[in-house]
Amino acid sequence: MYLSDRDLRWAIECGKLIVDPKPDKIDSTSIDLHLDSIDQAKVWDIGAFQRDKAIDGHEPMELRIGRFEYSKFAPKYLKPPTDNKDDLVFRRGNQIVIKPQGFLLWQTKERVGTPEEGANLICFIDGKSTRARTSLLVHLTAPTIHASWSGKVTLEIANLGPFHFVLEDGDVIAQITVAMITSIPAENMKRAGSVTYRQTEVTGSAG
Amino acid sequence: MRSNRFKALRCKISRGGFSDERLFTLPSGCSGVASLQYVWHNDGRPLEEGEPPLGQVIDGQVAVRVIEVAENGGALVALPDGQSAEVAADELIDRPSRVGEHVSVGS
Repeated sequence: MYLSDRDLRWAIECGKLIVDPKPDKIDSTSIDLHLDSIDQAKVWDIGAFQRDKAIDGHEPMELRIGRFEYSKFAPKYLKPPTDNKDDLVFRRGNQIVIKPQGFLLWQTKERVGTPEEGANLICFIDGKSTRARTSLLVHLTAPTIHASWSGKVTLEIANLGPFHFVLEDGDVIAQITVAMITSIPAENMKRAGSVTYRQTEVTGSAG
Repeated sequence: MRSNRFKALRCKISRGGFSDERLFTLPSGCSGVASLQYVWHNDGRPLEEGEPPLGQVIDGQVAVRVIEVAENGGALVALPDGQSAEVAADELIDRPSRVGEHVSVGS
């Protein structure tokens, strides 16, 4: 069951739902999320990736997704957009411009989620429908913020349309809806899915 | 009284791609991503937004939730990014503070 504006406000007030900073307004069933400061916009350094692959003697653009480890990949290849207007995503002063086929990651200003103890809510991140009609895609997959997790959300943003989108710090970019779950999760995770103690080659994934 | 499910593990910590993101590596080599509020310095101080400096790796602690403790001395824990890991139960330590208790300046 999804929470209405009254229940969203109640959940924030009693600490069952974390939205920090607190929202100025709450829509009928959702809360808007805003882009964080411009230095939290990041793109993949494809050039560096290609160079590393070539050095290793692999196909330059291939990424073996089954072995993908974000925690090892991101420090090497995530970088701020440059001011080079030839790039699909570039910085222009305090703005980020996304040309067609451009893709970037950008953190939300808000820390959202639920407290670790006794969480009985989950949140879903979604784009804004009117903006989506321009072909701006926001948060393409993994929209669920599971119970007992909170933090700033890293949004995937892509331009599939003909326009050049201009984004700034503080822009409303996404929204969350919140649902009540039937009981507090027992966390009986499958052992098969766990990372084995003393294992040195790990293939875990976030999200 | 606070549940003994909420523990921490010693780890190495470095900066992630975003101000709220930290990378942690457990002694076993298992690595993952955590929001800033789930990690601490080795002495228990919360990490601030600029810590550790870019490119540096520090000793620290990461929050875990204990799912199960086995009779053989192992423990199954949930990591902040949703992974689960088997660790030695005697590696589990008390958390320095509650998750979310400290809000970093500038966040």
